[in-house]
Amino acid sequence: MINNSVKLLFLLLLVSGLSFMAWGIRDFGEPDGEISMYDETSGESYKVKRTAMDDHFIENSQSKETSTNNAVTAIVFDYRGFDTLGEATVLFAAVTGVLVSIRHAFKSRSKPKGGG
Amino acid sequence: MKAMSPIVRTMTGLLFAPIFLFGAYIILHGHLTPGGGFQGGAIIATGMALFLVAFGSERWKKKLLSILESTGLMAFVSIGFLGLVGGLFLFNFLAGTGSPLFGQEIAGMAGYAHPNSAPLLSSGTVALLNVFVGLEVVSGLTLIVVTLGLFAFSGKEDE
Repeated sequence: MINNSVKLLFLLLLVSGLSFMAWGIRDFGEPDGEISMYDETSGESYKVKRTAMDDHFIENSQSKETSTNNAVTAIVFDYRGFDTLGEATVLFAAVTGVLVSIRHAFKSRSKPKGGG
Repeated sequence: MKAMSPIVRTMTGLLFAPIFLFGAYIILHGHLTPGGGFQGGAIIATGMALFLVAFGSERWKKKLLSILESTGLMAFVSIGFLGLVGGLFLFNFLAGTGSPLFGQEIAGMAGYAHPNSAPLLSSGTVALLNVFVGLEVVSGLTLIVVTLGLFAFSGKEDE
């Protein structure tokens, strides 16, 4: 068995490392940017807030970078592929949990009084 | 589990193939049209649940299903590690290389001439990941539905 102090030390290391990483994350929506849009019905042009990251996805998801016609799938499975891996792992864990608990329930149902 | 009436069984036999085909279409065209591995996998798993309810079948190959599910997740991670040849985890190393395995480029993209037409064999690893996620979702959801259904209605384990 691992000592409790070792566990506490590991937890402290993990928390400090994660908060150190969170310190370096950019603010939401940064780097900033604006584009001008044109409204056809009223004939006026107006500014829309759009970040540099949005422009990157819109311009490059269909070109040579991913060559995926569906930009949403390009983001989900390519730019944010690690997130999708986590999603698939969640499903795997759910299936494992169901199988394990149901197997226990089957055993406890068939065991007592020797009858089924 | 008891089977349902002949009407339901006949309609299930008729509907099962179209449901399966539609789900496979959603999975395989995930990089071209809305949808993807998760959505198409859920559709096929719905067909499997319909099969379970209508026929009351108790002979499912659970071992095969769980092997397929693990294979899907393992293949996903393996493709992620293969991306390390490009320097990054899950890097799209097949896109636009012209290789026969999903390597085609989207034609007519200059000036957005045909934004809604693209060859099926484009998009590199995105299509492969879609297929493997679809495999995992189909077998995982089927396994959950079959296990819970058999536990609730049959009362004995068949393995």
